[in-house]
Amino acid sequence: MTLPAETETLARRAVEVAIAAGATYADARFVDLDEEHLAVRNGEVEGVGVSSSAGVGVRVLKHGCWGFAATGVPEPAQAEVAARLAVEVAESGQALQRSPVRLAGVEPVQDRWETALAEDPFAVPLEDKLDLLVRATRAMLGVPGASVATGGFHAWRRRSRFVSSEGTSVAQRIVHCGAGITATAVGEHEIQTRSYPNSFGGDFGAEGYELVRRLDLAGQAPRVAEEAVQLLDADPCPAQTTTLVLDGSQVSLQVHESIGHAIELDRVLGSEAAYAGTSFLTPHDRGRLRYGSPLLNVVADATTPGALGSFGYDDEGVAATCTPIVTGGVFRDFLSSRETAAAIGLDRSGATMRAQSWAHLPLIRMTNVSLLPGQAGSLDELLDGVDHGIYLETNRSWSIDDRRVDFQFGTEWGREIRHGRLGRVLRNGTYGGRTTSFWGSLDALGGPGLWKAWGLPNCGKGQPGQGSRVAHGAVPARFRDVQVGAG
Amino acid sequence: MSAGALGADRLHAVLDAALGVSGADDVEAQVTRTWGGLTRFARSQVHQHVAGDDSIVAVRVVTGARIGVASTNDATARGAATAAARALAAARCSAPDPTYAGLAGPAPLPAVGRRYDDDTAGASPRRRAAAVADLLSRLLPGQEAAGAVATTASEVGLATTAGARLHTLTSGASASTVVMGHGASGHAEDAAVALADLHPGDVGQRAAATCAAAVDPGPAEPATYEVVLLPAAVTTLLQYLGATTVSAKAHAEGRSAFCGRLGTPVASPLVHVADDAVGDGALGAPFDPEGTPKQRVELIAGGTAAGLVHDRATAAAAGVDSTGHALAAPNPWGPLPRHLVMAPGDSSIDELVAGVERGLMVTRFWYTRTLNSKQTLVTGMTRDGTFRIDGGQRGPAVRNLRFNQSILEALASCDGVGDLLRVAVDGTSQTRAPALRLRSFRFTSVAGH
Repeated sequence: MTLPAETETLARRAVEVAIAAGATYADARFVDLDEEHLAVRNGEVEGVGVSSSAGVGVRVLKHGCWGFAATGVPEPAQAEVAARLAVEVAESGQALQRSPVRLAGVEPVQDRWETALAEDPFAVPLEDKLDLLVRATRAMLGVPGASVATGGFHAWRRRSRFVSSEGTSVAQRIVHCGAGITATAVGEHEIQTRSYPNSFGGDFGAEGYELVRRLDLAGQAPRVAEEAVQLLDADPCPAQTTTLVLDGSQVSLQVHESIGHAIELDRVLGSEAAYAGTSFLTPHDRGRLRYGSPLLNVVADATTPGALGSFGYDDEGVAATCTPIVTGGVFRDFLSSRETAAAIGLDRSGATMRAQSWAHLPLIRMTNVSLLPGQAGSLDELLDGVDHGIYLETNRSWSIDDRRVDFQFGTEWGREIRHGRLGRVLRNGTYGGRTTSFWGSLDALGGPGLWKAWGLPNCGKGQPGQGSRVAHGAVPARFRDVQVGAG
Repeated sequence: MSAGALGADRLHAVLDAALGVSGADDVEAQVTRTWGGLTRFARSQVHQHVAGDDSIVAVRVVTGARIGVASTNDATARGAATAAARALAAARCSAPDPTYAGLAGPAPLPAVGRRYDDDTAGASPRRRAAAVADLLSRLLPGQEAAGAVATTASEVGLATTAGARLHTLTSGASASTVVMGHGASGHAEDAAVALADLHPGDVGQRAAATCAAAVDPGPAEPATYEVVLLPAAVTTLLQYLGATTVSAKAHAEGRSAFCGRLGTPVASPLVHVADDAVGDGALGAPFDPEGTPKQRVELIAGGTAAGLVHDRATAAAAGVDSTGHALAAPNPWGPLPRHLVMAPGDSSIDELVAGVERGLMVTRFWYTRTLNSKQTLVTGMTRDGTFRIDGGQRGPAVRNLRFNQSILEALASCDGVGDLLRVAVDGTSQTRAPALRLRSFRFTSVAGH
């Protein structure tokens, strides 16, 4: 790991200055970010972008109020200015503070952690990465009827040093990357897109370029384009209440929206009410609320190897952990921080606080909120016994109310299920429901061999808005009596 | 010198270091300095209070029509030169871009009103906290509020090897809140160039009044209703229309609902929509990241599809001039409108409501997503105050509903436009919208709470 020792000195100095200015707690994060984004459209290179950003964010508590200040000039003098400004910010909120912030305890630690990589994505020549996307998009555009073909590659590297006034010092190097392709077919009144391996830009992980090589983008490209063209003339998904089978990627988004966000304890306690919303859950629901059928088992596991939401320590210096969220259908626990854990009487944070950059305050973010697998060994086993139903695959639209109860999702690809087999192709398939009743209708899950951690690179939250990269392990799943329709 | 600003000469000295990179045909460089703070509150107390500053130097280098882009927050001449070298290296790995249309040259900027306020640029955390206190002071008994007050300033310098040399200073202040109490909620927001022109107390009062009126929501049947959409709800429809329909790139690729319909009626004759970053009331810089001065573009004029927004690539392909709607490179989305405005009408909210025998009034929408861009079909939920309208009067609150509705079809049924524009800001985008009365709006389900 290449992180200069001066970064620890810098962060430690910022913490010392904040404490000297009256803070009762302080932490400082030096973060150095590198990104690489490649875009190809219709066989032509559309964008090659690289970026870097480094800075220091200082977070303090004074009189029980938070203050945060950051500077993009990571030098001692500027870090000291940021530390003093953070204390001033905390002081200015005191008049509007009714209950002082308390923090759940954490054992001080000195450690370092880094993502395991087989092939550093930043070391792969740009020409090679672009060539892959060019070949894939040209293969899609070669399918008659395909109008637009895109491909993208994205990589992020985050080197950080966290130092707190409680004695913690952690250095981390986290690398993420991923890629994907889309084909779009345009009709007079219809526009249909197929994505591979998922929408939202593809699939992503805390892995090296080996993830991208496994995707076989060029090999999959013709099928992806053919399906987009096929959708233009497909029948619309009929509106009905029926048995619904979802592919793993759509299940992962269902988990994200109707479980992952609902269990964020800051939302539950009202901190996000003005923007992201609240939650139907209350602290009283731990161990009591039936979230879904007995088949529903969910964990928040930031230690999952290769998953996009994995790390060694969160941005409060708390070690990554695996927290049971739903066990046998019963709600067990929230995603928490040191502050929110203390607020509901927990003795330990769930280690979920992450910030987009040095310039952002850490927030509770999903890690890898994953659905545990069931028994079905194949998709055919899930379809077996379904006389009439609908199979839907790959998210196209997602919408849920501000308490994470009422949702409607649209998908790219649908198939009719008849007598246990996939039938005609259906377009514009949507389904809707209410969170606990929908998960209550879960009656079969794919087994361990179908389980995969799907990376989502674009989860938004907070003011100012922050993006976060998270993942959800999921399997194909079957639900009974779901309202399905055409969007 | 203005609070925190460095001035054009110092910024251009940084940019010149990028423009001097050896081996490039064309270079475009922009430095953006931002500073300010945001005071976030929830449960009527400040809980996230931040301040900071940053700079970004973004360099686009072209060699043999191959393009590379690099950015850094090291806003020194050395940092800019390093970014330019990285951009050149990226360009050399790329392939010629057939859509490349050259860089912007010198051009006069449009005359715009006040865009910068020194007092706002230097606003302290205590000033923002005082604004929050003002907002909270308007709450009614039993109510709590969440929201944010922000003050920001930005200094932008841009230069190209084609001769463009631009500089601008902008500032902004905003307040938004959701007031909650007795099982109901209400929303309001405001934005201005200067903190002194922001009215956080009014924001708090409006949200509190909506919240008070929205208690004990009753059932509502999913159906197609006549509706009065308040400005925040109209803002959402305009934003999604702008994102899917009026980009020249979407139009050229056949993805836009305006394909084959430019010059034909697409909405009610009462509907006038433009993108206007230069007129009174607009916020932000008067040029885009390619250095093109921003133009006002009529998008829907008297219900007729009237125009598209362009960047340099789409403009060259169409044989027209860029309208100044480029996004920062690399940009796979093409040009987009960032300052949408719908022309106000002459009706008060009460007058709009008086024209509805049986319908709904919607404060705002939430989690809206596109279902079919070619049909401008979107879905979403109502939020923070949805009311029944009976006999031309606003009635009791109803539970939130989900809608599935074509935006253009909704605008085609417009028969009343409010006389007051409300402004909403989202990052560097700004939307100004009136209330609308629509004769047909399709709600497909009702929330279970």
